[in-house]
Amino acid sequence: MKKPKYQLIVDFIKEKISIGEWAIGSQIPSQRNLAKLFEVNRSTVITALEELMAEGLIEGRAGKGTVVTNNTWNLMGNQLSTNWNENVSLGIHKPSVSTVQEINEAESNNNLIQLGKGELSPDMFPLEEMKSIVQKVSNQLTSFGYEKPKGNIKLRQAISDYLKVRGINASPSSILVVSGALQALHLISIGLLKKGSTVFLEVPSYLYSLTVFQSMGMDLKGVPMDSKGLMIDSIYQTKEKGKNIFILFQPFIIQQVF
Amino acid sequence: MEEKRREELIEYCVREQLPVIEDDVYRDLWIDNPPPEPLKAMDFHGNVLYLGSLSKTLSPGLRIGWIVGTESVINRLADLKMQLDYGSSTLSQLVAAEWLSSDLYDLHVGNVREKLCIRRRTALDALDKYLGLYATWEIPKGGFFIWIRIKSPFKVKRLFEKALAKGILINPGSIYAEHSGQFIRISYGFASLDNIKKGIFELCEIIKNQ
Repeated sequence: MKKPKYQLIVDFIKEKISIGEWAIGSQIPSQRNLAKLFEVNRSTVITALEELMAEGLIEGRAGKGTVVTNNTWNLMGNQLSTNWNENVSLGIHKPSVSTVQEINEAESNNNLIQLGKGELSPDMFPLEEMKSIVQKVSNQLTSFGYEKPKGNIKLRQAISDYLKVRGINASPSSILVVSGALQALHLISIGLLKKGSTVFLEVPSYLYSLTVFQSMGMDLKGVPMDSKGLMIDSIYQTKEKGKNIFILFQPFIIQQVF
Repeated sequence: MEEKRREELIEYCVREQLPVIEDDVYRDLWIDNPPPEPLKAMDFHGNVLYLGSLSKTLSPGLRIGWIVGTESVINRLADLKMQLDYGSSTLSQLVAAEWLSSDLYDLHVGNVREKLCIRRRTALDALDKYLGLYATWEIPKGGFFIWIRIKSPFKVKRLFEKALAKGILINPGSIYAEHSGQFIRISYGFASLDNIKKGIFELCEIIKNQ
Protein backbone atom coordinates (compact mmCIF):
# COMPACT_ATOMS: atom_id res chain seq x y z
CA MET A 1 0.00 0.00 0.00
CA LYS A 2 1.25 3.47 -0.83
CA LYS A 3 2.01 5.61 2.20
CA PRO A 4 0.08 8.86 2.55
CA LYS A 5 2.13 11.91 1.66
CA TYR A 6 2.17 13.36 5.15
CA GLN A 7 3.65 10.10 6.41
CA LEU A 8 6.58 10.48 4.03
CA ILE A 9 7.33 13.84 5.62
CA VAL A 10 7.03 12.39 9.13
CA ASP A 11 9.40 9.55 8.24
CA PHE A 12 11.87 11.92 6.61
CA ILE A 13 12.04 14.19 9.65
CA LYS A 14 12.21 11.26 12.08
CA GLU A 15 15.10 9.81 10.11
CA LYS A 16 16.97 13.13 10.20
CA ILE A 17 16.42 13.36 13.95
CA SER A 18 17.22 9.75 14.79
CA ILE A 19 20.55 9.67 12.91
CA GLY A 20 21.53 12.93 14.54
CA GLU A 21 21.71 15.14 11.45
CA TRP A 22 19.13 17.39 13.02
CA ALA A 23 20.24 17.67 16.61
CA ILE A 24 18.17 18.82 19.55
CA GLY A 25 17.64 22.56 19.38
CA SER A 26 18.12 22.83 15.62
CA GLN A 27 15.55 24.55 13.50
CA ILE A 28 13.80 22.42 10.92
CA PRO A 29 13.02 23.78 7.43
CA SER A 30 10.07 26.14 7.13
CA GLN A 31 6.64 24.81 6.17
CA ARG A 32 7.01 26.52 2.83
CA ASN A 33 10.32 24.82 2.10
CA LEU A 34 9.03 21.42 3.20
CA ALA A 35 6.00 21.86 0.97
CA LYS A 36 8.31 22.67 -1.93
CA LEU A 37 10.63 19.76 -1.16
CA PHE A 38 7.83 17.19 -1.09
CA GLU A 39 5.69 18.94 -3.68
CA VAL A 40 2.65 18.99 -1.43
CA ASN A 41 0.27 21.60 -0.02
CA ARG A 42 1.07 23.46 3.16
CA SER A 43 -1.82 21.65 4.86
CA THR A 44 -0.12 18.27 4.28
CA VAL A 45 3.04 19.62 5.90
CA ILE A 46 1.02 20.90 8.85
CA THR A 47 -0.56 17.46 9.35
CA ALA A 48 2.91 15.91 9.46
CA LEU A 49 4.27 18.50 11.86
CA GLU A 50 1.28 18.08 14.16
CA GLU A 51 1.96 14.38 14.39
CA LEU A 52 5.62 14.99 15.23
CA MET A 53 4.60 17.55 17.84
CA ALA A 54 2.20 15.09 19.39
CA GLU A 55 5.10 12.63 19.68
CA GLY A 56 7.13 15.28 21.42
CA LEU A 57 9.89 15.43 18.83
CA ILE A 58 9.46 19.01 17.69
CA GLU A 59 8.01 22.20 19.05
CA GLY A 60 7.09 25.59 17.60
CA ARG A 61 8.96 28.45 19.26
CA ALA A 62 8.18 32.10 18.87
CA GLY A 63 10.74 33.82 16.66
CA LYS A 64 12.71 30.62 16.15
CA GLY A 65 10.45 28.59 13.90
CA THR A 66 10.02 24.91 14.62
CA VAL A 67 12.85 23.26 16.52
CA VAL A 68 13.81 19.71 17.44
CA THR A 69 13.14 19.17 21.12
CA ASN A 70 13.81 15.48 21.54
CA ASN A 71 15.31 12.65 19.66
CA THR A 72 14.05 9.13 19.58
CA TRP A 73 17.00 8.00 21.74
CA ASN A 74 16.06 10.50 24.39
CA LEU A 75 12.49 9.36 24.36
CA MET A 76 13.59 5.76 24.77
CA GLY A 77 16.52 6.04 27.13
CA ASN A 78 16.09 9.47 28.60
CA GLN A 79 19.76 10.26 28.01
CA LEU A 80 20.98 13.75 27.34
CA SER A 81 22.81 14.40 24.12
CA THR A 82 25.22 17.19 23.26
CA ASN A 83 23.40 20.38 22.40
CA TRP A 84 25.29 21.20 19.22
CA ASN A 85 23.03 24.09 18.62
CA GLU A 86 24.50 25.94 21.54
CA ASN A 87 28.02 25.04 20.43
CA VAL A 88 27.63 26.22 16.85
CA SER A 89 27.23 29.76 18.09
CA LEU A 90 30.11 29.54 20.56
CA GLY A 91 33.00 28.99 18.12
CA ILE A 92 35.44 31.88 17.79
CA HIS A 93 34.92 32.48 14.06
CA LYS A 94 31.92 34.60 13.14
CA PRO A 95 29.38 33.18 10.70
CA SER A 96 28.88 34.81 7.29
CA VAL A 97 26.09 37.33 7.21
CA SER A 98 22.80 35.76 6.16
CA THR A 99 22.74 37.32 2.68
CA VAL A 100 26.21 35.88 2.01
CA GLN A 101 25.08 32.45 3.15
CA GLU A 102 22.04 32.75 0.91
CA ILE A 103 24.25 33.69 -2.05
CA ASN A 104 26.70 30.86 -1.37
CA GLU A 105 23.80 28.44 -1.39
CA ALA A 106 22.25 29.89 -4.55
CA GLU A 107 25.56 29.89 -6.43
CA SER A 108 25.43 26.13 -6.82
CA ASN A 109 21.99 26.28 -8.40
CA ASN A 110 22.50 25.70 -12.12
CA ASN A 111 19.02 26.88 -13.00
CA LEU A 112 19.76 30.43 -11.94
CA ILE A 113 21.33 33.06 -14.16
CA GLN A 114 24.56 33.64 -12.26
CA LEU A 115 25.39 37.34 -12.38
CA GLY A 116 27.22 37.33 -9.08
CA LYS A 117 29.70 34.51 -9.22
CA GLY A 118 33.39 35.36 -8.90
CA GLU A 119 34.39 32.59 -11.24
CA LEU A 120 35.07 32.17 -14.93
CA SER A 121 32.49 30.41 -17.08
CA PRO A 122 33.13 26.71 -17.74
CA ASP A 123 33.40 27.52 -21.48
CA MET A 124 36.64 29.36 -20.75
CA PHE A 125 38.11 26.42 -18.89
CA PRO A 126 41.01 24.92 -20.90
CA LEU A 127 39.90 21.33 -20.52
CA GLU A 128 42.14 19.79 -23.18
CA GLU A 129 45.26 21.53 -21.88
CA MET A 130 44.37 20.56 -18.32
CA LYS A 131 43.97 16.94 -19.37
CA SER A 132 47.35 16.86 -21.07
CA ILE A 133 49.04 18.51 -18.10
CA VAL A 134 47.45 16.12 -15.61
CA GLN A 135 48.56 13.27 -17.88
CA LYS A 136 52.10 14.58 -17.96
CA VAL A 137 52.16 15.04 -14.19
CA SER A 138 50.81 11.54 -13.66
CA ASN A 139 53.71 10.10 -15.63
CA GLN A 140 56.18 11.74 -13.27
CA LEU A 141 54.51 10.84 -10.00
CA THR A 142 56.45 9.55 -7.06
CA SER A 143 55.06 8.76 -3.61
CA PHE A 144 53.04 11.58 -2.07
CA GLY A 145 54.85 12.61 1.09
CA TYR A 146 54.24 15.75 3.09
CA GLU A 147 55.53 18.75 1.19
CA LYS A 148 58.03 21.31 2.49
CA PRO A 149 56.42 23.88 4.84
CA LYS A 150 56.52 26.61 2.18
CA GLY A 151 55.24 24.31 -0.54
CA ASN A 152 56.57 22.23 -3.42
CA ILE A 153 59.89 23.65 -4.58
CA LYS A 154 59.11 23.15 -8.25
CA LEU A 155 55.95 25.22 -7.89
CA ARG A 156 57.68 27.94 -5.87
CA GLN A 157 60.37 28.20 -8.53
CA ALA A 158 57.67 28.47 -11.21
CA ILE A 159 55.89 31.20 -9.20
CA SER A 160 59.19 33.03 -8.77
CA ASP A 161 59.73 33.04 -12.56
CA TYR A 162 56.11 34.08 -13.15
CA LEU A 163 56.50 37.03 -10.75
CA LYS A 164 59.76 38.15 -12.34
CA VAL A 165 57.95 38.81 -15.61
CA ARG A 166 55.50 40.95 -13.63
CA GLY A 167 58.22 43.09 -12.06
CA ILE A 168 58.65 41.30 -8.74
CA ASN A 169 61.95 39.78 -7.65
CA ALA A 170 61.14 37.04 -5.16
CA SER A 171 63.20 33.93 -4.55
CA PRO A 172 61.40 30.65 -3.73
CA SER A 173 62.31 31.04 -0.04
CA SER A 174 60.18 34.17 0.21
CA ILE A 175 57.13 32.49 -1.34
CA LEU A 176 54.54 30.45 0.53
CA VAL A 177 52.08 28.28 -1.37
CA VAL A 178 48.56 28.55 0.05
CA SER A 179 45.19 27.19 -0.98
CA GLY A 180 43.86 30.46 -2.36
CA ALA A 181 44.16 34.10 -1.37
CA LEU A 182 41.56 33.64 1.34
CA GLN A 183 43.85 31.29 3.24
CA ALA A 184 46.61 33.88 2.86
CA LEU A 185 44.38 36.46 4.54
CA HIS A 186 43.46 34.03 7.26
CA LEU A 187 47.12 33.21 7.98
CA ILE A 188 47.97 36.91 8.08
CA SER A 189 45.10 37.63 10.45
CA ILE A 190 46.09 34.91 12.91
CA GLY A 191 49.84 35.23 12.50
CA LEU A 192 50.78 38.86 12.08
CA LEU A 193 48.10 41.11 13.45
CA LYS A 194 47.46 42.11 17.03
CA LYS A 195 43.98 42.07 18.46
CA GLY A 196 42.46 45.49 18.14
CA SER A 197 44.39 46.31 14.96
CA THR A 198 42.70 48.38 12.33
CA VAL A 199 42.57 47.09 8.82
CA PHE A 200 42.25 49.84 6.26
CA LEU A 201 40.73 48.87 2.99
CA GLU A 202 39.10 50.09 -0.12
CA VAL A 203 35.38 50.73 -0.20
CA PRO A 204 33.71 48.65 -1.39
CA SER A 205 35.74 45.50 -0.90
CA TYR A 206 34.92 41.83 -0.88
CA LEU A 207 36.64 41.66 2.49
CA TYR A 208 33.55 43.21 4.05
CA SER A 209 31.61 40.14 3.03
CA LEU A 210 33.99 37.85 4.93
CA THR A 211 34.56 37.76 8.64
CA VAL A 212 38.20 36.68 8.52
CA PHE A 213 39.57 39.81 10.23
CA GLN A 214 36.64 40.70 12.45
CA SER A 215 36.69 37.21 13.92
CA MET A 216 40.22 37.84 15.15
CA GLY A 217 39.20 41.06 16.86
CA MET A 218 40.23 43.55 14.20
CA ASP A 219 38.33 46.54 12.89
CA LEU A 220 37.81 47.26 9.22
CA LYS A 221 38.07 50.85 8.15
CA GLY A 222 37.27 52.05 4.67
CA VAL A 223 39.51 54.48 2.81
CA PRO A 224 37.63 56.63 0.30
CA MET A 225 38.70 56.65 -3.33
CA ASP A 226 38.62 59.30 -6.00
CA SER A 227 39.23 59.01 -9.73
CA LYS A 228 43.00 58.65 -9.17
CA GLY A 229 42.78 55.92 -6.58
CA LEU A 230 42.87 55.67 -2.82
CA MET A 231 42.80 59.01 -1.02
CA ILE A 232 45.93 58.75 1.05
CA ASP A 233 45.20 61.86 3.10
CA SER A 234 42.16 60.22 4.54
CA ILE A 235 44.01 57.26 6.00
CA TYR A 236 43.45 57.64 9.66
CA GLN A 237 46.58 56.76 11.58
CA THR A 238 46.05 55.65 15.13
CA LYS A 239 48.92 56.54 17.45
CA GLU A 240 50.09 53.05 18.26
CA LYS A 241 52.72 51.93 15.78
CA GLY A 242 52.65 48.42 14.43
CA LYS A 243 48.97 48.09 15.10
CA ASN A 244 47.62 49.02 11.72
CA ILE A 245 47.71 47.16 8.54
CA PHE A 246 46.69 48.49 5.23
CA ILE A 247 44.99 46.46 2.59
CA LEU A 248 45.15 47.21 -1.05
CA PHE A 249 42.73 45.36 -3.21
CA GLN A 250 43.09 44.82 -6.94
CA PRO A 251 44.15 48.34 -7.84
CA PHE A 252 43.12 48.40 -11.46
CA ILE A 253 39.82 46.61 -11.10
CA ILE A 254 37.89 48.58 -8.54
CA GLN A 255 36.97 51.99 -9.80
CA GLN A 256 35.70 55.00 -8.06
CA VAL A 257 32.18 54.22 -7.06
CA PHE A 258 31.43 56.89 -4.49
CA MET B 1 45.02 53.61 -9.45
CA GLU B 2 47.23 56.26 -11.04
CA GLU B 3 50.99 55.73 -11.18
CA LYS B 4 51.71 58.85 -9.10
CA ARG B 5 49.15 57.91 -6.46
CA ARG B 6 50.67 54.44 -6.22
CA GLU B 7 54.10 55.92 -5.56
CA GLU B 8 52.64 58.25 -2.94
CA LEU B 9 50.91 55.36 -1.28
CA ILE B 10 54.03 53.24 -1.04
CA GLU B 11 56.06 56.23 0.25
CA TYR B 12 53.42 56.93 2.85
CA CYS B 13 53.36 53.32 4.00
CA VAL B 14 57.16 53.15 4.26
CA ARG B 15 57.25 56.42 6.23
CA GLU B 16 54.48 55.36 8.58
CA GLN B 17 55.67 51.75 8.74
CA LEU B 18 52.30 50.56 7.59
CA PRO B 19 52.30 47.03 6.27
CA VAL B 20 50.44 46.58 3.01
CA ILE B 21 48.60 43.56 1.73
CA GLU B 22 48.39 43.72 -2.04
CA ASP B 23 45.71 41.36 -3.24
CA ASP B 24 46.47 41.04 -6.93
CA VAL B 25 44.57 37.92 -7.98
CA TYR B 26 42.91 39.64 -10.98
CA ARG B 27 46.16 41.02 -12.46
CA ASP B 28 46.26 38.72 -15.49
CA LEU B 29 42.66 39.49 -16.43
CA TRP B 30 43.31 42.99 -17.74
CA ILE B 31 41.27 43.84 -20.82
CA ASP B 32 42.35 47.12 -22.40
CA ASN B 33 45.94 47.60 -21.31
CA PRO B 34 48.24 45.77 -18.92
CA PRO B 35 47.97 47.28 -15.42
CA PRO B 36 50.91 49.20 -13.93
CA GLU B 37 53.49 47.11 -12.08
CA PRO B 38 52.39 45.86 -8.68
CA LEU B 39 53.25 47.92 -5.58
CA LYS B 40 55.41 44.96 -4.60
CA ALA B 41 57.71 45.80 -7.51
CA MET B 42 58.42 49.20 -5.86
CA ASP B 43 58.83 47.72 -2.41
CA PHE B 44 62.44 47.66 -1.22
CA HIS B 45 61.68 47.64 2.49
CA GLY B 46 59.60 44.51 2.70
CA ASN B 47 56.44 46.45 3.56
CA VAL B 48 54.26 44.67 1.07
CA LEU B 49 52.75 41.22 1.41
CA TYR B 50 51.75 40.22 -2.08
CA LEU B 51 48.93 37.74 -2.82
CA GLY B 52 48.35 35.87 -6.05
CA SER B 53 46.23 32.91 -7.07
CA LEU B 54 45.18 30.63 -9.90
CA SER B 55 41.55 30.62 -8.73
CA LYS B 56 40.36 33.56 -10.84
CA THR B 57 42.43 32.91 -13.93
CA LEU B 58 42.62 29.14 -14.30
CA SER B 59 40.70 27.00 -11.86
CA PRO B 60 39.31 27.68 -8.37
CA GLY B 61 39.18 23.93 -7.78
CA LEU B 62 42.97 23.59 -7.81
CA ARG B 63 43.06 25.60 -4.56
CA ILE B 64 46.45 27.11 -5.31
CA GLY B 65 47.59 30.61 -4.43
CA TRP B 66 50.69 32.26 -2.97
CA ILE B 67 51.97 34.87 -0.54
CA VAL B 68 55.21 36.75 -1.16
CA GLY B 69 56.91 38.62 1.66
CA THR B 70 60.12 38.95 3.64
CA GLU B 71 61.56 35.60 4.67
CA SER B 72 60.87 36.07 8.38
CA VAL B 73 57.19 36.70 7.67
CA ILE B 74 56.98 33.80 5.22
CA ASN B 75 58.66 31.47 7.75
CA ARG B 76 56.11 32.47 10.38
CA LEU B 77 53.15 31.97 8.04
CA ALA B 78 54.56 28.67 6.74
CA ASP B 79 54.76 27.39 10.31
CA LEU B 80 51.13 28.37 10.89
CA LYS B 81 50.02 26.72 7.66
CA MET B 82 51.74 23.50 8.72
CA GLN B 83 49.82 23.62 11.98
CA LEU B 84 46.56 24.13 10.11
CA ASP B 85 46.71 21.66 7.24
CA TYR B 86 50.28 20.30 6.68
CA GLY B 87 50.46 21.91 3.27
CA SER B 88 48.44 22.08 0.08
CA SER B 89 47.78 18.99 -2.03
CA THR B 90 50.86 17.66 -3.84
CA LEU B 91 48.81 16.81 -6.90
CA SER B 92 47.46 20.35 -7.21
CA GLN B 93 50.90 21.84 -6.66
CA LEU B 94 52.46 19.71 -9.39
CA VAL B 95 49.69 20.57 -11.83
CA ALA B 96 50.03 24.27 -11.02
CA ALA B 97 53.81 24.10 -11.45
CA GLU B 98 53.38 22.53 -14.86
CA TRP B 99 50.91 25.24 -15.97
CA LEU B 100 53.09 28.11 -14.83
CA SER B 101 56.36 26.77 -16.16
CA SER B 102 55.03 26.00 -19.64
CA ASP B 103 53.77 28.67 -22.02
CA LEU B 104 50.26 27.22 -21.72
CA TYR B 105 49.32 29.57 -18.88
CA ASP B 106 50.11 32.71 -20.85
CA LEU B 107 48.26 31.38 -23.90
CA HIS B 108 45.28 30.54 -21.72
CA VAL B 109 45.01 33.93 -20.00
CA GLY B 110 45.43 35.64 -23.37
CA ASN B 111 42.48 33.64 -24.60
CA VAL B 112 40.45 34.47 -21.48
CA ARG B 113 41.17 38.18 -21.92
CA GLU B 114 39.77 38.10 -25.45
CA LYS B 115 36.61 36.37 -24.29
CA LEU B 116 36.21 38.73 -21.34
CA CYS B 117 36.43 41.65 -23.73
CA ILE B 118 33.47 40.28 -25.72
CA ARG B 119 31.56 39.50 -22.54
CA ARG B 120 32.16 42.98 -21.18
CA ARG B 121 30.90 44.48 -24.46
CA THR B 122 27.72 42.40 -24.22
CA ALA B 123 27.10 43.44 -20.62
CA LEU B 124 27.78 47.13 -21.28
CA ASP B 125 25.51 47.15 -24.36
CA ALA B 126 22.71 45.58 -22.35
CA LEU B 127 23.25 48.03 -19.51
CA ASP B 128 23.13 50.99 -21.91
CA LYS B 129 19.99 49.63 -23.50
CA TYR B 130 18.05 48.69 -20.38
CA LEU B 131 19.46 50.37 -17.29
CA GLY B 132 20.66 53.74 -18.57
CA LEU B 133 17.71 55.53 -16.99
CA TYR B 134 17.97 53.85 -13.62
CA ALA B 135 21.63 53.40 -12.90
CA THR B 136 25.21 54.56 -13.45
CA TRP B 137 28.43 52.56 -13.73
CA GLU B 138 32.01 52.77 -14.85
CA ILE B 139 33.66 50.57 -17.42
CA PRO B 140 35.96 48.07 -15.70
CA LYS B 141 39.46 47.89 -17.15
CA GLY B 142 39.86 44.26 -16.23
CA GLY B 143 38.46 41.38 -14.24
CA PHE B 144 34.80 40.47 -14.64
CA PHE B 145 32.79 42.70 -12.33
CA ILE B 146 30.80 45.87 -12.96
CA TRP B 147 29.75 47.96 -10.00
CA ILE B 148 26.38 49.49 -10.71
CA ARG B 149 24.94 52.36 -8.75
CA ILE B 150 21.17 52.15 -8.73
CA LYS B 151 19.60 55.60 -8.59
CA SER B 152 17.45 56.17 -5.54
CA PRO B 153 14.70 55.65 -4.56
CA PHE B 154 14.94 52.09 -5.91
CA LYS B 155 15.68 49.66 -3.12
CA VAL B 156 18.59 47.34 -3.80
CA LYS B 157 17.72 44.80 -1.12
CA ARG B 158 14.33 44.31 -2.75
CA LEU B 159 15.97 44.14 -6.17
CA PHE B 160 18.16 41.29 -4.93
CA GLU B 161 15.17 39.35 -3.59
CA LYS B 162 12.95 39.93 -6.61
CA ALA B 163 15.77 39.02 -8.99
CA LEU B 164 16.38 35.80 -7.08
CA ALA B 165 12.69 34.96 -7.28
CA LYS B 166 12.96 35.44 -11.06
CA GLY B 167 15.97 33.15 -11.22
CA ILE B 168 18.75 35.75 -11.35
CA LEU B 169 21.49 35.94 -8.74
CA ILE B 170 23.20 39.29 -8.21
CA ASN B 171 25.36 40.47 -5.32
CA PRO B 172 23.98 43.45 -3.42
CA GLY B 173 26.60 46.07 -2.55
CA SER B 174 25.51 46.01 1.08
CA ILE B 175 27.60 42.91 1.70
CA TYR B 176 30.73 44.71 0.50
CA ALA B 177 30.59 47.86 2.61
CA GLU B 178 28.38 49.48 5.17
CA HIS B 179 27.49 52.44 3.01
CA SER B 180 27.13 50.83 -0.36
CA GLY B 181 23.44 50.10 -0.16
CA GLN B 182 22.68 51.56 -3.58
CA PHE B 183 25.18 49.36 -5.39
CA ILE B 184 24.99 45.98 -6.99
CA ARG B 185 27.91 44.02 -8.34
CA ILE B 186 27.34 41.95 -11.43
CA SER B 187 29.71 39.61 -13.16
CA TYR B 188 30.03 39.16 -16.90
CA GLY B 189 32.46 36.30 -16.42
CA PHE B 190 30.20 33.35 -15.75
CA ALA B 191 26.75 33.44 -17.40
CA SER B 192 26.34 32.86 -21.15
CA LEU B 193 26.09 35.94 -23.38
CA ASP B 194 22.34 35.35 -23.84
CA ASN B 195 21.83 35.03 -20.11
CA ILE B 196 23.83 38.19 -19.42
CA LYS B 197 21.48 40.08 -21.75
CA LYS B 198 18.41 38.38 -20.33
CA GLY B 199 19.50 38.94 -16.74
CA ILE B 200 20.13 42.64 -17.26
CA PHE B 201 16.81 43.01 -19.08
CA GLU B 202 14.99 41.37 -16.16
CA LEU B 203 16.74 43.68 -13.66
CA CYS B 204 15.42 46.59 -15.69
CA GLU B 205 11.88 45.17 -15.58
CA ILE B 206 12.05 44.74 -11.80
CA ILE B 207 13.29 48.29 -11.23
CA LYS B 208 10.72 49.76 -13.63
CA ASN B 209 7.87 48.04 -11.82
CA GLN B 210 8.97 48.92 -8.31
